Amino acid sequence: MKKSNDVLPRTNGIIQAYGFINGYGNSHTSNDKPVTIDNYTSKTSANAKFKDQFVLLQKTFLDHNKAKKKSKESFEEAPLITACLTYLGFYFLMIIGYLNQLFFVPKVATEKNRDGYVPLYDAFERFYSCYVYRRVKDCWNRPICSVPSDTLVLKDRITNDYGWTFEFTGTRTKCINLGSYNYLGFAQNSGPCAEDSIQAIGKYGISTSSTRRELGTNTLHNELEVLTAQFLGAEDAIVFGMGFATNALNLPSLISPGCLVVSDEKNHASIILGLRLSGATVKVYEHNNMKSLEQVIEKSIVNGQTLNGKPWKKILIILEGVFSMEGSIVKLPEIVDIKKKYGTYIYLDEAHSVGATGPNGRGITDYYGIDPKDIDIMMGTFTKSFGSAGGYIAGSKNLIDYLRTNSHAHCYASSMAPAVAQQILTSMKIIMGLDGTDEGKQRIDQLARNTRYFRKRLAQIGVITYGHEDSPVVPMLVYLFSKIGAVVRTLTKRKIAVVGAGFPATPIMEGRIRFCLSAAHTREQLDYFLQAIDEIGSTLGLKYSRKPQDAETIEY
Amino acid sequence: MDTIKKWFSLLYLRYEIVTCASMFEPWEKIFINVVIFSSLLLLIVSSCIFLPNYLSYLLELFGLTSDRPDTGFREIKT
Ligand SMILES: Cc1ncc(COP(=O)(O)O)c(C=O)c1O
Repeated sequence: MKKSNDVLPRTNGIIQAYGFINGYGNSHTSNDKPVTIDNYTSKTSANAKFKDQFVLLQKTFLDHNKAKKKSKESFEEAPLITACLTYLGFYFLMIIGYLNQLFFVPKVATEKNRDGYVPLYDAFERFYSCYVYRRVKDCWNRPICSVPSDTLVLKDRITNDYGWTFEFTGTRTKCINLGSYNYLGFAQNSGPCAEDSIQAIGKYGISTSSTRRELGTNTLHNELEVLTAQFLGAEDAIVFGMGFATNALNLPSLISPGCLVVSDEKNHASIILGLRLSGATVKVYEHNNMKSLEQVIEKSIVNGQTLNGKPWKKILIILEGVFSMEGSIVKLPEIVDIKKKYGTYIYLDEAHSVGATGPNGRGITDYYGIDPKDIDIMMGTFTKSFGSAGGYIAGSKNLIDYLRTNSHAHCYASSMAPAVAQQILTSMKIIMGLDGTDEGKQRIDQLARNTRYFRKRLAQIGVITYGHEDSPVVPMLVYLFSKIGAVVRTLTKRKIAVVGAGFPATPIMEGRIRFCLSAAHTREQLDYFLQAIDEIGSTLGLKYSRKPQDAETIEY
Repeated sequence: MDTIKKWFSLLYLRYEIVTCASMFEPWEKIFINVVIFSSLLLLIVSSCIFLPNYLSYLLELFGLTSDRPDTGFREIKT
């Protein structure tokens, strides 16, 4: 296999990598352009030795640049005492939970006449959801009764038995919404998107009630596929009714046993499900760590398939554009270099990045200025930025034609509802500026501005946030399990709706509150929220950050 | 007076969060408080009673004080 020979002779890959950084950096760091060799050699002698030195110099300079770029992303460590307290809290929860289980019958349905059967549910899972999760259950799955745009209306509910059951009080609370993936603010019940969707229902009905391969295709789907391909700069695209199914059902048709998949450790559940269904060998690399990725690939290529040592059929690197739990942005330029060096494929899940990143809202490739053709398989969802539902895969014509004949989601799942497709079409046209206004551009700029302002202000307040400074997903670390509940409840009292995430969605140590910014948020709303965070940060003790904080006011 | 009250309520809030007591049912709250405070009490009482003797014994052991008669620790032990 040619890949295995490729490992050794390509030492110049590194130099290529530097050249590349030069290329993509210009849109973001135009002012710190590296000193080029030519400038210097014209001033000094054209001595070869000198030139060598300058190449070295340039390299270190670029290294420095790279380090600077890395520092845009921050993952501050927790203080040791916090880690200890988090574990202590969990011990208390467990001990009390077991005692409670021992003395009281849990208020859940129990099976009868099942003596001798193996229990249907995992014992620990059951214990966890009854005695740990139940205590903060009111912070999740909260029913709402409005559009989840910049504000939303919560249906109030109370519990009289410590979280086992809930009752509606009949009242409602209008809250600022920082929990929806509504990046460009297209979740609206008025405006062009809503009007077009309503018209589409009149014209095409509510549902096609069939699969794409049978009676479920109409002109909207075809139009959407063409527009998606155009939007992403790919040759062709295919759309599906659900983003989760796009990953879970298409991965098995792309890879098979005997293929190697190198997967980021923080990848979404839908990707993991798809990989398991495919039966391919999966190796996991550390989150966003290029060294780890390269090591894993190199080792796997050298060793070959696990059982028989044969070369791999295909090697696929699978990753996300913006990671939804970490708020980090993938280091795509480095990944493309690694791809070229080892001859692998890239599967990029742009669920959170399409629409939300890049100067034109076209996702991560746009953000770094990379040719979309370098990414073999571009997957994404319409659920987030477009305010709709569904997923797409874009790539070469060959790939998409192959998927049209082989994808389970295309053949056996019902197609996208016409109104949903229309919502995507209209919002995508607005983003692309095809509607003749600059509203899309404004939304993208607004989101970028909100993100920058919000992240900087949070850093100033002194809480620990994870991720890249341009990512609209902002996880704020609270560590302790009980603090997740406390923060969500206190913020709800102040009419702010946020989403918490704790074990098992995150490591035990890293309970967090995840804010999602939107172009629909106004500065007043953000300021109100930041004020609230500042206050409850002092009372509940959220200001963990030990970084120096600059006191100067941040302009919006 | 008010500030002291506020300070104590803040302290109690933090305490409840760290021990997860804020999420517990009343009887669980009482239980966990009793456990924590009784173990703290035990710790304090035992260190008040035994620590001075123990410390002086230690000091002696390392030869830091030699002029005091050998009492304390061994007395209690036997
Ligand atoms: C990375 C990633 N892929 C896929 C999905 C699934 O998308 P959908 O909500 O459209 O099913 C999500 C949703 O959260 C996601 O975060």
